[in-house]
Amino acid sequence: MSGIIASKTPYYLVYVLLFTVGLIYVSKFTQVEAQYVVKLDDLKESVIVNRVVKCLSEEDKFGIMDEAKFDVATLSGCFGDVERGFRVKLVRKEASGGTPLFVEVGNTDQLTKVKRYVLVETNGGLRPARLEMEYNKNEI
Amino acid sequence: MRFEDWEDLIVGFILLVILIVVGNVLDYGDPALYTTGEINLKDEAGLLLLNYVKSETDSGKMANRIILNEEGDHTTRIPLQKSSKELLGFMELREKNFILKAKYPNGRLEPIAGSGLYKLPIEREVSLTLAQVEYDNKRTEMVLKLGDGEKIKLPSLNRGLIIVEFKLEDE
Repeated sequence: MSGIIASKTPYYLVYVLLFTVGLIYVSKFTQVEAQYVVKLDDLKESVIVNRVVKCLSEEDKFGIMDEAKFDVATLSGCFGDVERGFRVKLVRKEASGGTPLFVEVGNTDQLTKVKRYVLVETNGGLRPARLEMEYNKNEI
Repeated sequence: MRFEDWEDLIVGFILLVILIVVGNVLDYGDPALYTTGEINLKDEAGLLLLNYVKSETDSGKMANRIILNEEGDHTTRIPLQKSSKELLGFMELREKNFILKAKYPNGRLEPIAGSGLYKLPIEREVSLTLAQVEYDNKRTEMVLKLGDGEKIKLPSLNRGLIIVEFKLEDE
């Protein structure tokens, strides 16, 4: 038996070598790590803004503002027990849109301002409006 | 089983042990590392595009006006570009670069509005083509091809879908 194994030794060695090289090569692909750069401030802004837009939107119509909801109680109610500081203004594009609606809640120091393109339901259909929102980053 | 088969089995088993040992002991060095860059979590453009196409003006809903502009006739294109510029101007995106464009099923791409880096020569009476306007490479690419902006599909009056794209970048 030892004679047979000895005669095959070079083949075994080549076999082991090839497999080892192959294994090392393949392992490089299995050990891939991806690096992601996530700006948490953007995520925070997105969550807060979308929550406010949903809060002030018509039922099941995200982005279509319900002007009747523009009051402190509704806005406060949407954020529950979370400490908040908001200043929200709805500016309609139409010149006949009247005075912009405005709500202010909580501590309004050091506010961060963002804007969103929203819609307002009128007799002439869905008209554009701008939701200007300022929120207190430190309290949310 | 024959004697040679037992031999091969034993040798095979030994090789397997060697492979496992090599696999566990050998240091492969650092794994390959891929950086995907920044993940954009800003969703302002999505809501803006959605509400833009749903917006109604005195000349009708923006989505309908984009659909009616399929042939690129100046009687539909110029008012569409003007209204869009006005609507997006109202959103006060001045400090940002944006480009709004529509690609029709016939392959024609219509730049509708743009600002900053992607500002359009809106006064032009003809549709832009690569031959007509020599922008720098990035600008040309952004204005005349669909990119990685937010997209919405609208049904075409002919067959197929119109892809409306809105790309928003901080300056």
